Amino acid sequence: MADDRGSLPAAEQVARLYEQAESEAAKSSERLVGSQGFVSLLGQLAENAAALTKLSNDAMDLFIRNLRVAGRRDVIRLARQLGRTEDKLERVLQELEEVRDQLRDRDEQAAGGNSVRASGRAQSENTTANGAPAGESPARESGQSRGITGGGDGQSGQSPAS
Amino acid sequence: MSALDTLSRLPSASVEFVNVILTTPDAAVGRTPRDLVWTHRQTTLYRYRSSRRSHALPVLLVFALINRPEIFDLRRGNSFVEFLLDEGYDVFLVDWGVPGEEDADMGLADFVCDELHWAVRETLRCAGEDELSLLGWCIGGTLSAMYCALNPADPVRNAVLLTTPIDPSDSLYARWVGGDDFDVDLIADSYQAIPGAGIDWANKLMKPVTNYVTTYRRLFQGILEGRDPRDTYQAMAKWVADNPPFPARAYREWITWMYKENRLVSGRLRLRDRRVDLSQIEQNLLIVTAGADHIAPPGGTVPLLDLVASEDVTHLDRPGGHIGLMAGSRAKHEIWPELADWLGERSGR
Repeated sequence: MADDRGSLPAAEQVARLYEQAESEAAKSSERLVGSQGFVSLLGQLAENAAALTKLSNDAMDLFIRNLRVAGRRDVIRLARQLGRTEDKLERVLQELEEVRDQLRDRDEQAAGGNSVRASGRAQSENTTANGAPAGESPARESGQSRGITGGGDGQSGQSPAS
Repeated sequence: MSALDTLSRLPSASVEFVNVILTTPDAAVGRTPRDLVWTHRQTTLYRYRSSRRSHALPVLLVFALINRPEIFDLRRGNSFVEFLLDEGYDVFLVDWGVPGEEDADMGLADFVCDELHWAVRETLRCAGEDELSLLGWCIGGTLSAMYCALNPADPVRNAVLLTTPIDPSDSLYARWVGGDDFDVDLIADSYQAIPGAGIDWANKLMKPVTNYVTTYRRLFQGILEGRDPRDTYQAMAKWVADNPPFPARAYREWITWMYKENRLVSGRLRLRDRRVDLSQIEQNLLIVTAGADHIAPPGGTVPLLDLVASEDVTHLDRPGGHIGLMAGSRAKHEIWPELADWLGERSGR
């Protein structure tokens, strides 16, 4: 027991000494990585690594091409074409959604107008049977709106891309 | 613990230490249930549904182009997403995905003007709202600031920028990559997609002893003292090691515009022929800096405070590191409630 009590502070002391040394090493290393010499070294290392990667990639591509099989470059080219197609599709989808929203708004406005007019039908003789003002073509409009907004509701705000 | 006890525990602690390191890839991160809302190329928009939604405005989370956005949802009991859901927010997350060489042509403009813009649009459509809160972290914060500057009248009501580089001219990164010693064009042309491991290596090299020695020493010490640091360590270590490649064009632009030419803060950065003028930012703005942040030091973020036109600007400077501030064990009780309070006051209809 006496040995244990005596060794406890010693162990703690060693731990503290180690932590202190580690802390000093951390500070020194942070000073080192901030020095101009390290910056130059890092730049050169990065350039060498990049150059090596490029050389090995080019060599591998050449090898694969000579085997007459599709290489990484071919796959990347194909993937880029797919990406461009997806870009176009996304833009078309957004245009479609905007048109759909505009039509829905117009439909709602028309429906609101209809209800107002319907309530005043008794006082006005210039209305059609369904409440739309004379001169408009309510059947065509409502038919179009139903067809488009019906699909929109089903999407519940999600793009078909998802 | 006596020296004898310590010695007797050494073998089992060593085995457990090795086990923790080896099983790190199996750690469960990003486990909060979510719905896939929208995808475009590598970008995906997710929605986390709150069962107790009490705030009208949805929150859109935007993370950096390096590392994965799972840091927002690290592990059960220590997840910012989970916290926001409990606070009653409808939460959306932009995941930039894992770009490949085929995405080498993706530049900052593509991320800000297309991917983020469309993610905002889809968030609003999905949430059925006209406005939202944008929360960006690290490069995600810079992209969010650019977006707000380009779209001051658009639907972002609140912008929260966490440890965001705005004027990085005095940072260690700027010293490394800002000068002529670093040929960014050679790197970008050679790789097409800059390996994430290389960027991670550079990040760790900023504090080499802390990252390569202290982390493991603390883990071993914790095991030796009978604590169980497995969950905490593994989730963070797995996230740190998960580094997607950085698209070459975006990397070239990021290094050149931010570190070599410092264009953003001087108002010379242009995306799709539109000047990114930070003085156009009018949104309610919360800027959070971390005192011990070596990647985006507070001095590189605070210049934004003097540039923006926002009338409602709050700055929180808190102790902590670049990631530890938001994902550390104290974040749940310190910075997260502050963020939720700030957002809560500004998220009504």
